[in-house]
Amino acid sequence: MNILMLLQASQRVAEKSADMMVKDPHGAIITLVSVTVVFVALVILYFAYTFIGKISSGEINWKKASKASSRKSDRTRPSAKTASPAGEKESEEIAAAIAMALDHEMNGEVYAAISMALHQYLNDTVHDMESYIITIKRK
Amino acid sequence: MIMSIQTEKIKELVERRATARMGGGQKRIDAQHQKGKLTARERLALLLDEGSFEEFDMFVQHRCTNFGMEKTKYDGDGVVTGMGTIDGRLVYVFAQDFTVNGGSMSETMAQKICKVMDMAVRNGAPFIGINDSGGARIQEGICSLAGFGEIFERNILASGVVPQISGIFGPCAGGAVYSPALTDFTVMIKDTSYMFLTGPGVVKTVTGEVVTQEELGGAGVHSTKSGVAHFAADNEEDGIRTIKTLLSFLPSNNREEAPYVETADPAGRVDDALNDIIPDNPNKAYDMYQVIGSIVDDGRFLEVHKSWAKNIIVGFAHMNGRSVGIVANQPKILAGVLDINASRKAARFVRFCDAFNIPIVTLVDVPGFLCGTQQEYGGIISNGAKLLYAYGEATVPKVTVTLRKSYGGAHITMSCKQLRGDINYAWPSANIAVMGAEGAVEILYSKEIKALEDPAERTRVAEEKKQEYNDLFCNPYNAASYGYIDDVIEPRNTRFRVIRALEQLAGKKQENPWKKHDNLPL
Repeated sequence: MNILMLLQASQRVAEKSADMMVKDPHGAIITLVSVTVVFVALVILYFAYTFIGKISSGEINWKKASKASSRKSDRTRPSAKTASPAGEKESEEIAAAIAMALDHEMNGEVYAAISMALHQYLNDTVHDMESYIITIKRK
Repeated sequence: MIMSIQTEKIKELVERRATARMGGGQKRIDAQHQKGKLTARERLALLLDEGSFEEFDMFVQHRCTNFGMEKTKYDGDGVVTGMGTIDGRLVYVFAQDFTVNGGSMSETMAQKICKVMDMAVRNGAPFIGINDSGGARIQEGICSLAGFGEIFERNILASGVVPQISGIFGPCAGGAVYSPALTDFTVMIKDTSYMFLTGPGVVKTVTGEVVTQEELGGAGVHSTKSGVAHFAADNEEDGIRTIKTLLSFLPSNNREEAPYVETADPAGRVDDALNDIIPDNPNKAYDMYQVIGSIVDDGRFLEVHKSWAKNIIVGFAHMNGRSVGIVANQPKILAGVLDINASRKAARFVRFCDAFNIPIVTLVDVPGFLCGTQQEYGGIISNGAKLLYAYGEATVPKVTVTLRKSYGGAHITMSCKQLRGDINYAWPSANIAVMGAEGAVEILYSKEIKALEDPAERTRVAEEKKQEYNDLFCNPYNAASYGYIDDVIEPRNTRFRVIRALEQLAGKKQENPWKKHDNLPL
C-alpha cells in the first residue's frame, strides 16, 4: 500500500516538474523563491537571536519594565493628594518622587560621568597649559 | 678502541675542565647547598646571559707549600673568573668559590681577579665581583695580603672608570671587606652574608661585647645602620636580579652614556594628583615616593640605600628613556631634614652619577640641616659639605625642582642655581628663604614682641609679622625675580618640564679646572 502511494507521489512530482520546465525553462522563479525563503529565514533568525541575547544579558528586565509602565500611567493621572492647589506646579513630594525614580533608573556611573565632566570643565580653566611635545631631536 | 694522540689530548682537556668545574668536590657543593647558598658557577650562570660566559685561568693552582698546602691543590684555586654578557652588554666577573679552601684569598687567586679587573678597565666594561670567602689564606701569609693590596689598588684605579658592583653572598671578613667598600655598589643577602673587620669571637675578646654575626655585620645592619650595603636582597636569586637591574641603568664606562630604553610612557603625560599633593599645612608631611613615581617612566624606580638615611631618597629611573639619578628629600621622615647620614648617602650617589654621565634630577623639600650636639659632634659640617661639594663639582646635567621648603644652607646644598644647577624649577607652593616665617620673626622681632604686655596683642603682632615675611619670601617668585629659579611650573606638568630640560641638556659639556685631584672634605 505504502509503496503504491509513494509511486503515485513521485509520479505527481515528475509531472509537476515537467510542467515547471515548460513554464520556467531557465529556473528564474525557482531561484527567486529559494533566495526569498532563505533571506526571510535569516531575518527571522536575526531578530530571534537579538531578542534572546538581550534577555540573557539582562537588558530586558520584565519586572522593572512592568513597574515602570505602571508608574508612567500613575504619573499621567492627576492625584488629589500630590497636585498643587493651583494644579500647575508640582509639589515637593512629586519632585522627590521624580528624583527617586530617576535615581532608580540612572545608576552611579551616570552621576560619576557627569561629575567627572564638570570637574574637568571647571579645572581646565585654571591649568597652566604646556605644549606637551618634545621638539628637540635626539642626536 | 685506539684513540689518536690528539683525541686523547682533547679527552684530557674535557676531563680536566670537568674536574675544575667541580671546585672543592661534590661533598662541599652539597654542604654549600645545605646552607641555602649557590656555588660560584651557579651564581654566574644566573647572572650572565645563557652561554655567554668564558672562563679564564681555569687551571691556575696555588703555589703555597706551607702547612701541607701542596697536598690540597684545586684547578681554579677558589675563584671563578671570566667575561660574559648581561642583556647583551659585556661584563667581567669573578665569583669566589667557598668549596675550595673556604674561598680564602691566595696570591694566585688575587692574580686571577686582578687579570679580569685589568681587562674590564682596558675594554671599558663593568666589573662584578661575587664575594663568598673566609678571608685571607693564612698559610700564605704576606702573599695573601699582597694579593688583597693588588685588588684594592685596582678597585681604586677603576673607580669612576667602569662601574664596579660587589655581591656579598657569604662571609666577607677582615681586610677583604675593603674591596666591596671601594666599589660603587654592594649587594648583600639577608641571613647568609656577613661583612665585618673582626668576627664576634674577636669582638668578645677585645671589648667583651657579645654579638651575633647578624648583629655585627649582617645585611640588616649594613643596609639600615652603617650604609655599607646599598641593597639587601632576600635571597641569592633576588641579589642577582638586583645586580642586573642596577646594571640596566648604568653605562659600561665613564666615556659612554647609559643605555637608552624605549618607553611607551608619553613625555607629555600630566598627573593631576601632583597639584593636590602638597598639604595646606606646611608642617604636614606627604610622600615623596608618590612624586617620584609620578614623574618617571612607568613609575619604575630603583632605590639605592632604601633603608638607610631614609630622610633622603636616592636611586635610578628612566625619564623619556634616559637614565637619571633621582635625589629627593623625604618629608615623611624627619621632615626631610639633612643630617650626617643623609648628606653622606646623597653625596656618594651624586658623585657616582657625575662620574658616569647620568643626569641628576633633584626634588627639594628641605627644612634645613639637623641641629643638635649629636650632629655637631658627629661632624655635620664636614659631612654636609660633602653633599655641597658633590653637587658643586658635578658637571652632568642637573635639573632641580623645589616642591615646598628650601631653607638656608640646605637650600644651597640641594643643587641651587649657584652650584651650577642647569635648570631650576619651583612649584607654586615653594618657599625659598633663609628660614621659615616662625624662626625669622622670632629673630627679627623678638624684642618688640616681648615688649608688648598684652598676650593677645603679642600674638596678633607676631602673626602680622609672619604674614609679612611669608608674603615677601615664602614663595617661589622672590627667588624667580632674581633669576635663581628659571621658571615656576604647575606640579602636574613636572614630568614634561623635567624631560624637556633633560633633552635640552643632553649635549651639555662642562669641564672643571685642571687639578691632580680634588680635596673633598672626607
